[in-house]
Order: sequence, then C-alpha cells, then structure tokens
Amino acid sequence: MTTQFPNPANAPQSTRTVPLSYRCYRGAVVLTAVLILLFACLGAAGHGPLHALGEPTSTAIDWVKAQMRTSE
Amino acid sequence: MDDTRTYTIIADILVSAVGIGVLVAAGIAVAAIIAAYLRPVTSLDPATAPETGTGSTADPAWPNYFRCQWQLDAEIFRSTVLRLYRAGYDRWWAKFPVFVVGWPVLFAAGLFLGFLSAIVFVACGVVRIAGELAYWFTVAGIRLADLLHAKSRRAEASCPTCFEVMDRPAYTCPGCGVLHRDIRPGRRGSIYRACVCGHRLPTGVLRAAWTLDAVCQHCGAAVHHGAAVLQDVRVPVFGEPHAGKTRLIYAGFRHLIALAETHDVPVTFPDDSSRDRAEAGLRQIAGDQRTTKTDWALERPLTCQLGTGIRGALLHVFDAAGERFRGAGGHDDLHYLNDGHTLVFAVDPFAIPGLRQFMAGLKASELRDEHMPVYPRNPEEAYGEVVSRIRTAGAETKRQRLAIVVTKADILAVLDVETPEDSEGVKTWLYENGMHNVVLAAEREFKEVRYFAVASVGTPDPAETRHRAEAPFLWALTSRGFTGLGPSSTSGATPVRDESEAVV
Repeated sequence: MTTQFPNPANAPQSTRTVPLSYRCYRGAVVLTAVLILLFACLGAAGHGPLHALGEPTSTAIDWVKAQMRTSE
Repeated sequence: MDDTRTYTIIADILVSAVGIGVLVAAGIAVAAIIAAYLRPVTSLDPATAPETGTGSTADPAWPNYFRCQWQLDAEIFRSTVLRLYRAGYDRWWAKFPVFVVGWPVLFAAGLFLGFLSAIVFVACGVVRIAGELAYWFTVAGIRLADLLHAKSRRAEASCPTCFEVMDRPAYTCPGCGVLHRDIRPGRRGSIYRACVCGHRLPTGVLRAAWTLDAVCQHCGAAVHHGAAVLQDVRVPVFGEPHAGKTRLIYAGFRHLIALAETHDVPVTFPDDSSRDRAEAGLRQIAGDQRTTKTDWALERPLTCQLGTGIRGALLHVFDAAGERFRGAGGHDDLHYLNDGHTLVFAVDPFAIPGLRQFMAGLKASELRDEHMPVYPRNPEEAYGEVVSRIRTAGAETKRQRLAIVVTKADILAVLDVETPEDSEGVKTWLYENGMHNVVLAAEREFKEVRYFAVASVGTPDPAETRHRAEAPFLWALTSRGFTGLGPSSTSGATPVRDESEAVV
C-alpha cells in the first residue's frame, strides 16, 4: 500500500480553522492588557497592590484634586 | 463677562476635550484589539508561512503562535490604531471649531491612545515571555522523552516494503491525509500541532506512534503501528538452497510463541502479509509437513510483535530463496542485509564437506539420500556472497551479530550423527568438518558470533532443551535488550548495550 504524497499548497483552504492555541494566546494578551489597565486604574485611585503594602502617600487622583484646588 | 467665568468656560471646554479624547482613544483601542486579537480569522497562511528551522519546515501544519502570527497580530493592532487615529483628522468634527475643540480632543486622544497601546504591547511581551518559557520547556520535555526512549529501547522504524530504516516514520493526518514528516515538537507545535486542515495531531513519536498511521519516509508505504517506539529487531536469514531457512523460521516462531505464552507475553502479527504467511507456515510446522519453497521474488519480512506498549518489540525475520545467494544479481536488492542486527546463517549439514564425506561412507538409506544435495556447494560460498554484499554497500559487518545455525539436527540424530549442543561445541564441530574458513572469518568480521545446532521440528519434547529452533531468534532478541522472554537458555546471551550498535 503506497500513500500519495500530497502537496501542502493544495491543502483545503476553505476548511481552515484557527488553531486553539492561537485563540488562547490572543485571549491571554487581551486579558493581560485588561489586567494591567485595571491595576493602573486601581493604583491611580489609591487601591492598587502597591498601596496595599503600606500607607499611601499620594495618588494620581490626589494630585489632580490638588491641582484643581490650586487653580481655584 | 468677568475673568473667572471666562476661565471656567475654558476649563470646562478643556475637561470636555480630555474626556472626549479619552473616550475616542478607548474606542480606537477596543476596535484595534478586536481587529487584531478577537477576530476568529487569521491573516496567516500556514502552507506558506515564513517558517524557519529544519525538518518540520515542509510539514503542512500551523506554526506556533510566537513564530509568526504573534508579529502579524501586533502589526494589525499597530496599523489599526494609526489608521483610525489619522482618520480623525479627516473628519469634519475634528476641525470644528477649528483649533478649539477638535485638536485638543485629538491631542488628548493621542496621549491616551499611546498609553493604551503601551499597555497592549507590555501585555504582548508578558504573554510572550511566559508562553515561550512554557513552550520550550514542553518541547524540550517531549523531545527528551522521545530521545531517551529511542536510545534506551533501541527503537527504530523499518519499512517492510523498501527495507529503509528510519529514526521515525512520517505520519498521515487523519483529517485530510497530508503527510507530516517530522512529528517531533518544535516550531509547528509543542504538545499538539494543528494540521492545515485544522485537525489536531499529537507531537512526539511516543504519542503519535499509537494514534496516527505511520508511513515510510522513503517510499510512502505503510509501516507497522508503534514503529519507532517498539524495539526493532531485524534478523535476515540466509544460506544455500535447501538449507532449511524457511523451516527454521517457522519452527522458531512456533516455539517462540509457545515460550511467550509461558511468560504471559502477547504475540501478534501486525500486518496481513505476516499474518497470512505465519498462519500457513505454522500450520505446516505443527503438522510436521514440508514448508513451501521460498520464491525468488522479494518477500516482505515476517514480522511479529512481542509484548505491548512501549516495552514491546517488533521482530522482523527476512527470508529469501537460497538461489539468491549464488551471484551478485540475486542479492543486489536485499537491502535488509545491511541493516540487520543479527544475521542468521543457516547451514545445511549435508553440505558441510567433512560431514558429506562421512555420509557418503554410511550405508545407503532413503533418509540420507533424500537430504544429500545433488549439486553440493560449500555453505561458505553463500557466507562470502553476503559479507561481500554488505561491505560493497558500505555497511559494516563489525556492527552486526552472526548466528551460524546448523539445521536438521533431528535428521542427523536419526542417522546417528550427534551434534553438539553448546555454542563452543558447534563451533569446534564445524571447524573440524571443513568449515574452518567460515569460523575464522566470521569471528574476525562480525561483532559477535554464536553457533547453534537446531532441530526444526513441529512438536519438540518439552523436556528437551537442546537444539531448540527458537534459540537463534531468542538470542537476537535478548542481545538487542528485549528480555520479556528471559535470556536464551541455549545461548546464554545477555543484553549488550554499547553505543556502537545503536546505529545499526
């Protein structure tokens, strides 16, 4: 029994589906980006993990408030 | 209008501009993320992917995400962000009111978009570092397992059609039938690889061997299930016509199967050709009938699988008509001789010069006359043909073992000719009966030589431990490290594991 060697260029284009690993990696990129953004926002609001380690001195929002008070 | 009110209006406009800019930037970033990372389609064509590396390059499978698609996705994200942001300048609302609202909005959007893009690229970097680490650890682990198994079990794949010996066969995709020539994990996938048709294939020979159909890398013919994982033991049998090669093979198999049963080792014939021939041959042996004369045509090996799973072995025994060893034209296509681990040289005792002389002096009998060759030819000539053929092909006999097997010991016993039972005894017996040239040459030319005298009978006395037909094959198996049937009682062979033999 001899198997014909197929030409990869003739592979069925229409039936191609993206491998599951591609979806996983892409999902991981989006999830990581969302997490980084979330932590950045939490950090700016004084609720980030760095602030949880000790007494917060000032946050980005504190700084904005201070600037607004100064302008008033 | 006082100054305070003016400042308040300007401040409100600026705050609104920043707010709108942030919203615009968030919208653009989300659109770019959807375009690059959340679409179900891909811009990569796996058949023409700019893949680098060796071996797997031609395989029709999707490359690992980080090899190619990762860059494409990042580029799609970057280009989408730039395209949408630049498009903002072309919109009427971006210029109205000119320099007052449009530009501050776009300026704020640009700043925030840069921040969001930076977050996405940092996320890409984090995922890549973590993903690459996991990926290469997995690849290294699977490859190492394959390598250690192949080295320790001496696993190879051999083609029963063209006799090519390979480290690993090619595998066909169950989905579309295309060939994957290098199934090892690598740039085309770590734990699994995705065929271009989308079918998921396991990587690594240890897993692929049991789930995919294997074919020869050289000729494309089907090879045995489990090839390159099961221990591969190749035993070519050669000798003059009527030396009893075929009978030795089937008698050996019959007794090997009986021995396997006592050790609870399952024995199967993994291909139709072997199954059919074994069925007929074993029936002839069991009935003490004559075995069918082997044709001149090239035969596939008689293959049996001993044991199951990764501890099993494939024993391939190659038979050929004795006439093929009379001149180079006959054995030119017997490529399997070069790659045989243990060669079995069947010696017809009635063709041994000293014994022939002795027989001629005996009283004429039907049994003697039946077995005395009409045109006697010294068995050493077939030996010389085979050794020359192996050397001419560039192979080294020094890496092979040789079993010199004196057949028909049962007939000699009837004629009151006693044959020794141990290897040294048979060696001396052959030496003294005119086979000294073969004995001296074989010891010099082969890695290890063992001598046997066998009776290829169908139903041997269970208590009789001498002249067992399975002894040469058992030696071939044990010397390759297969100990499932215990050491060969007649040969005393012990597994030898040296590196020089691993390449045979």
